[in-house]
Amino acid sequence: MFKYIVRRILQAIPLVFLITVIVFTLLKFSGDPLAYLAQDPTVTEADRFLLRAKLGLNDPMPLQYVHWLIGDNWYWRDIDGDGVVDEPGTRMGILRGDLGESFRFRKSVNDVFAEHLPRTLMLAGTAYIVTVVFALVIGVFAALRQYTIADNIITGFSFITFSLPVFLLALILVQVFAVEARKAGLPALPVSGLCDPRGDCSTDEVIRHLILPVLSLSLISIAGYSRYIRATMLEVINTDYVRTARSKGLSENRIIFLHALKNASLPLVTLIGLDIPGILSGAVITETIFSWPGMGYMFTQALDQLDAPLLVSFVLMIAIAVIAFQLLTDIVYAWLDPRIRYT
Amino acid sequence: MFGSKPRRLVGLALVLVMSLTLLVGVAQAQEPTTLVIGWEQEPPLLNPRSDMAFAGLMDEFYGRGVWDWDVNRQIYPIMVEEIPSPDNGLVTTNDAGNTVVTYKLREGMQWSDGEPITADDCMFWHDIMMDPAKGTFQRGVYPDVVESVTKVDDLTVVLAYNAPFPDYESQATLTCSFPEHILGPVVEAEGTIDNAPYFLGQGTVGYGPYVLSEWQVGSSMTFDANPLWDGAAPAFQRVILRFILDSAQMQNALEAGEIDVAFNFSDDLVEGYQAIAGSDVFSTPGVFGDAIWMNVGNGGHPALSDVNVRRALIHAIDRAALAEELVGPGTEVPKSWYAAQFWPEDLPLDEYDVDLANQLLTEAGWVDADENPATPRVASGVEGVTDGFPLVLRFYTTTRQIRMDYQTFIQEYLNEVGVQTLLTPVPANLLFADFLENGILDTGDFDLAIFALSAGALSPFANAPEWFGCEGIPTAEKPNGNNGWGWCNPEWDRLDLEVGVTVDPTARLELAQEAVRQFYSGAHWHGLYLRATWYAVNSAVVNPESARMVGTLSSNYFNMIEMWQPAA
Repeated sequence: MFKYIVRRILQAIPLVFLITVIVFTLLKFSGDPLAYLAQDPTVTEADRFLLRAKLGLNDPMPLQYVHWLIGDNWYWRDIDGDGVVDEPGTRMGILRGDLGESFRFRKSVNDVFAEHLPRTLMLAGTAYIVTVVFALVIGVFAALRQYTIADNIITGFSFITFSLPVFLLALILVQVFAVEARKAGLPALPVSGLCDPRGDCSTDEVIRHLILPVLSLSLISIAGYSRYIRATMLEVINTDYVRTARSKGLSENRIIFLHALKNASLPLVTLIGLDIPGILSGAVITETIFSWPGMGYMFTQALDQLDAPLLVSFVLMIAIAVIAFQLLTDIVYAWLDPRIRYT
Repeated sequence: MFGSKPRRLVGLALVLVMSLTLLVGVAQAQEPTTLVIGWEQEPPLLNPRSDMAFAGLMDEFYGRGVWDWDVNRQIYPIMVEEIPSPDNGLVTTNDAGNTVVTYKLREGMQWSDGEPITADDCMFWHDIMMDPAKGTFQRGVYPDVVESVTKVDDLTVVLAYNAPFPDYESQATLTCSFPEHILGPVVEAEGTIDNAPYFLGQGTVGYGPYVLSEWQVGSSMTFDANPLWDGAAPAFQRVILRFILDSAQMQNALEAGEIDVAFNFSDDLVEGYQAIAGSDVFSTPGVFGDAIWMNVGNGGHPALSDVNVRRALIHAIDRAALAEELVGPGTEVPKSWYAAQFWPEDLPLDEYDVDLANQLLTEAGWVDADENPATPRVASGVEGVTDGFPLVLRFYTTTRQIRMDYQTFIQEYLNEVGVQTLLTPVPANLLFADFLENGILDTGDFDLAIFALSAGALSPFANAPEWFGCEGIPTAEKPNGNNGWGWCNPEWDRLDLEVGVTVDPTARLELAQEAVRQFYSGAHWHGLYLRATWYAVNSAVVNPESARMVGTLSSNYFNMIEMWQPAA
């Protein structure tokens, strides 16, 4: 197993760098990050040159990538455009733990991530826990009551919810629970934000602000996951070993939750392993709609300004997370099913 | 009718709803002296001279300048005793014929931390402006036109330009809004202000009606009344800027009472804001105007090199009807790129006239050979163009909705006169990218384009040879120009330079009006509408009449915020 893990990690390294090269190249061909200054005639060419020089945008593209990798504190630049190099850069490069400086946020990418990641983990992590718990309960419930009215109602709601785009669901929830509820004089949920700026940003206030974005994220996922769990549970509860367990007189709860659910959750582990890296990337649409200042919110703003250092670091982080969680999934698989062995 | 299992499901749903209600709690009562403004973009830094427009707006709260303009675009003093002018002897001409302006700071002004504001603060920022190594931000023309700044005494500074400089009120003005006692030590230690905590909201002091008390990154910014401000005391003790990126959510937040003011929303959202009960919606004239730009000499369609074809195209479009329909009732079509006060009285507007458009096109040699309106006109005897060459134009704009709507309607209008267009909306960073970044405009890879380029609201001096001058047409040898439409008129170049150095107001206006005429004669720019600045205020919180005390320039939405009053 150890050899397998080491081999997978070694295989991942060139893959990760290939991904960063592709993303970096695509971004460079997506336009000028300072193009928005072009509509302002008061911005002089000297201003633009200075800004470009400081951000390293005047360097040739391959060199910009090299700087992102190994830093530019060895590379002297002409800052004022007089043809004479003035000062070296200040970045250490990703291989030395420095992800670069964000064009959009004007601070180090490490700091930007440190600010936004915890908020995303709070939102998406909560949403994911809610999703898995409710999906398990609803999926198992529906499987055990196949073709009953309850099962049909759940199926109907699942299809409706699953068909809704997340932005539409979010806006419907806001309209109902924030706007209309307030108009009707009922207790209302907040429209957006992390907490009420008039308040003290206490824990219960943050929880109130979490409800609608978590619901937006979870409802659709619960619909999908619960259908998946229902299908795998149905498959398992009709297998021979479950019949054997019943004939041996084991309690129904023990059969369902100890024996059947463990085997039914094997495919779910793959699903979760694939989805968790998505948590780190944040829910771009949901965070933007709810002004939740997490990774998705950050990504929108960075993309708007073609903030290459931040976007490439972001993709790198997701790529590493995907690889890591795939590996973790394999390990959990082996733990859940002792017949699985890796060499 | 229902069995026990569905009943259990309904019960579960009820429990969930009740739990939600408990969590929600009762909506918080709003403090009467707090004003919450929805802010659509959070700046990375508080430096008003950074490249983020929404940072520039914030200094109205905590860091006022030496003077400003009111809602009627009348200048008024803030940090100075009076506005310098030749009449009061504070604007003179030195032996070299260059403009010299004396700034007399008011006595007794204090930063929000209690330190006095003196000439040293002005001298400090001048030093920063003249040395690019000391900070990365937009300096404008300041380093190019300022000769020297001299401290006369603690409250008097003299700024000398290196040429006659009639725009001393609006451009390259002395800045005294940054505290030397806070930022000076940073420059001494680091050589630059780029990483000063001051701009991240740490230890930020200023001279304004409010002082920054909290910045929750990604969420909100809170300003409290500045007790050391010696101007009118603000009626709202606290102003909170709440960052909301999504335009639909901004509207919801106003409707739900989470914010009290929304501003700068696009014209298509006005009706939605007006429909909110208790909201008061008003606008001020904008300074940004969308226009059609025609590529007249930088690799555009050969037909566009003929001024009569350009004129024909614009006669084919009913711009007044489009403004009325797409922007709103009463929206006017600007006659010129210049601000209206510089237009000559006889400046015409090319009216909608399809017959004239057809006539001009035919006379220019672009004929409807097969008399089939579904096919484009073709060249017939046009010099330098092969007969049969079709009149099909590449038409670009950004992905802003109103521009794409305009594009579609204009396509229909042009079809009517046998001109076909290929519509291509692209992201702004592709359209406006530099020549070396293969920007569509700069490389001349277009025939028509819709976008906004602001003219100075206070000055007739375009001061933009790289935008409109013959020298500004970008090439591989001169990639820094922005005149991607290739309009070259040496007479306009000469006039603009004259306007830039003519101090006498009457003579200057005459020159400016001639420059406006020359600009019109090029027929490369055709205004569509001036984008109004819209405000929506919750009239239960703010007295709507007092809220109309706003600025009308591009970055002074809240320059009278201290005059805003709570609702009765």
